[in-house]
Amino acid sequence: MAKQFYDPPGVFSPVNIYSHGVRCGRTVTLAGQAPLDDDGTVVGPGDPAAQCRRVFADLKKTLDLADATFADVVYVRAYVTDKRVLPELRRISAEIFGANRPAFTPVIVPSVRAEGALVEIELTAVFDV
Amino acid sequence: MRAVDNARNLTILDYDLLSAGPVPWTITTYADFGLSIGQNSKSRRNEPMPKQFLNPPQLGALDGPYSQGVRAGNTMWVSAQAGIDAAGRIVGAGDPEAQCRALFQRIGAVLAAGGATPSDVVMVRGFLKHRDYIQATWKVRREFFGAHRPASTTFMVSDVEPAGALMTFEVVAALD
Repeated sequence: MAKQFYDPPGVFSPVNIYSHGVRCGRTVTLAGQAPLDDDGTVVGPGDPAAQCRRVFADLKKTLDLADATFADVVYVRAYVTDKRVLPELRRISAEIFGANRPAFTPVIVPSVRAEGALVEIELTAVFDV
Repeated sequence: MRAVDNARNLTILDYDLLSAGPVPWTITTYADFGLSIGQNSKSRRNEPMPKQFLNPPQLGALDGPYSQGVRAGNTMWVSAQAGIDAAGRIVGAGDPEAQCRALFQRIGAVLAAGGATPSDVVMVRGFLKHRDYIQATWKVRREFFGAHRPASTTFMVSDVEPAGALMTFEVVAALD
C-alpha cells in the first residue's frame, strides 16, 4: 500500500520540505493550509472571510489531486490567531461542507507560520470505498 | 484484491495485494475459498465504509456544520470538547478539575455513540489556557482512562472557546 504525495501546482509552498497532502490507504492527510497567494503573500490582511475562502480554495486543489472532495472530510483542525475568526470560519465552512459534518477542533494560538495569517486549516479525509 | 462472483465461480482478478504476486485464478465456490475472505483483512479493503456522524443528544447542539465525532471504518475522531452542559453553559467556572471531568464525560458519550470506550483511544490532545491546569487534567485522565495509556500531546494556547472554558480536549480512537 504505497503512499501517494500531492503538491498541487497552484498552491504555494514556503519551503520544499513537506507535501500538501499524503494518501495512505483510504486516508488522506492534508498539511496546514495558510491563506497565501501564488507568490506566498498573505491574502486579505485582517479579513477573516477572504483568508478562510483562500484556505479552502487551496485545500480543494490538494483534495482534487487525491480524487477526494470536502464530502470525504472527517476531521478539521483550524488554528486561528483570534477567536473572532471562528464565526466567519463556521459560516464559510457551512457552504463548503454542505451536508457533511466533520469533527472539528479549533485551536487559538498566538500566531501561525505565515506572518499576518489569521487562520490555518488541516484536514483529514477518508474514502467511504 | 478484487473479486467477481460469476454465478458460482469466484474469480480473483488481482492477486497482487497478497504476497505471491499477480496470479489470477478461478475457484468454483465460496466454500472452496474457505474462510480466507473473512479472515484476511486485505480482502475487506474495498468494502463500503460509510461515515457515521456522532452527535449524542445529551451534549446539546453544536455551533457550525460539524459533528461531535465522526467514525469512519474503525477510526473515530472526537471534536474538541469543553466543560459545558447541554445548554452550552460552563460547568465548574474557574475550576480546571471540574471542567476537565465534565469534558471527558462528553468525550465518553461521543465514544459510546460510536461503539468505542476510553480504552480504544489512541491519541489525546489537550489545549490549555494555562499550564497550572496540567495537574488537574492528569488526575481526571487517570479516572477516565484507568490503566489505559494512549499517546498524548498537551498544548498551551492563547485562548479557548467558548468563553469561560479553561481547556479543551480532543481524542482519536481506533477500534480493534
